Amino acid sequence: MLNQSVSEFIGDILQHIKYKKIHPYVVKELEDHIESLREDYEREGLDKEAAYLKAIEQMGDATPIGKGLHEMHKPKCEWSLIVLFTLLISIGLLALGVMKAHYPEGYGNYYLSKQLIFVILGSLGFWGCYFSNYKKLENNAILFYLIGIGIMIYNLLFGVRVNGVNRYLRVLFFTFSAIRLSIPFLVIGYIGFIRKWTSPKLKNVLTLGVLGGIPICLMMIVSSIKTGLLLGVVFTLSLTFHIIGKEYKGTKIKALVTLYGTLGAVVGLTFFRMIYGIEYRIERLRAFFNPEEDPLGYGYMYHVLKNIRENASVIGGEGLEGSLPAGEITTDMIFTFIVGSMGWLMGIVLMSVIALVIIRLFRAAMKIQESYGRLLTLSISTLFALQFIFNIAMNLGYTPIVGVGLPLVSYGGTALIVDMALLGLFMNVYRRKDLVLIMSQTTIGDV
Amino acid sequence: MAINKELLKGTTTLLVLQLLKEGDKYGYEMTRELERRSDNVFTLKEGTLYPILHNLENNGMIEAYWEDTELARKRKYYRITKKGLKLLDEKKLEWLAYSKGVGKILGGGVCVEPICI
Repeated sequence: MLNQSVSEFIGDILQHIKYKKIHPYVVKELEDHIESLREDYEREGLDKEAAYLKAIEQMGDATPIGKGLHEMHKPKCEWSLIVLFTLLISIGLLALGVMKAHYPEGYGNYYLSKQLIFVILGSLGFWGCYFSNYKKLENNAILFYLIGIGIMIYNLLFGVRVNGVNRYLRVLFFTFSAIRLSIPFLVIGYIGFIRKWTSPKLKNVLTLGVLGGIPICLMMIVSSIKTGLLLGVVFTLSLTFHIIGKEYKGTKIKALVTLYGTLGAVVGLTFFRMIYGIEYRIERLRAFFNPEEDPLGYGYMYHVLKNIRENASVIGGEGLEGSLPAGEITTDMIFTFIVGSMGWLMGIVLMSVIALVIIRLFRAAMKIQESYGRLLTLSISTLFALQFIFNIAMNLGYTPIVGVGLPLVSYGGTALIVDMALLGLFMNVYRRKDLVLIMSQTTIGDV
Repeated sequence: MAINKELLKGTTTLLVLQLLKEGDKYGYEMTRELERRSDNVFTLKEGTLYPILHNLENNGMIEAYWEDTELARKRKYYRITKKGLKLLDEKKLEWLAYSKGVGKILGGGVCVEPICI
């Protein structure tokens, strides 16, 4: 094929580009340029060899080209996000440490050491996903989806019962919250489906609706209405991102109207049936609107939380007078515990870090040009943003109390490990954003 | 007249975006077009165009696609995006302000499009 000096020149460039998989794409582009120049010079009367040499000279020095291209295609790391994640985890650990100091005898002792183990396992998950290759997920969407469904069905049949509901899966010495564990699988699976089947065809719309509806219904049956809703919102927003994005070729407005019209009807009907079908749910909602009505029953939690918020000082632990609701205070209500035990200043620091994380996640996701990675990171960002915002609102008393934890901060093994793995995946997409783009275009050219 | 490399570097992005606004092009085509339209003032080392193109692509300012040529070679074409058009407008304004300023300092006789001082 090419002449010796051209191969050497291109070799000198490639030597600087560490990531080998993109080499062929760089070579093709540069070869085309050099060949075009050579043709010009031959037309001007040079012989082939001289024309090649002149073309290489015209290209310039290999080193800056190679270094420049390497810079453009090397793995990228968004360090600010890693720092923010670490901060959130540290604040969570700090809170559990404070709890240990407050209640050295009781349950306070046990949370910190367990959470430390979860952080180590979560870090393994994070870095494992960080160094993986997210592009492999797309082709296995069905597998991921089935695993997610499988976990829920297994849980329904063989799960460990707590308060009359199957909640945990026991694997060797570990117990997992089945619902938390299934979320990432279902999200990864569903995003694959979205990319495959979003089109104006009725058949595809129905397929997506049914495939999205099954896990949501399953979750609601397993008693977790809020997780079902969370998943539903994430699915819907992922679909929305896909429709708004460049990949979707149909009429965007029409697709969005169809999506939200159908969804509104379905969700409205199911939701009202569920809420009004069961007595205790009404009671719980009433407790949110009038906690004083039933201060020892469903209103108790609202009452305690309100007390902690009102007694909390700017700095210090004045908010923790009186009794604490065990259990939930380390998980869903950890924000209130932090405000109560360390003061509002710490609460505001925590809220600021969370706000930064949300902004940074979406900004990083928007920088990704490759369409699958972009949708995946947008969906992960949405999943986290919803949980962060809902949990804080709940702790501040703006929403009813339902079990939604504060990602990375709340105590809890499965949630922490799953969340860290998902964030590792997010960082993996970001890391590879400039590697995969150059490789994803051949398919466009082949069409 | 050959132009100083550093001076060229800052404006190549602007010029590339302008060329792509007028239509999809591949790398070699852009270098020829730059030379021709600048009366051979812009003779950049052509390889250095590619890091610039790939950078614009990574940031979503331009998109690339491959096409077959009659010579059985694959050719990578670039197309400007909406985001890229916006950047072009910004860069244009920036350049006009800059060149106007330089022109004013150097004083009479320097002609800067579209304003002659």
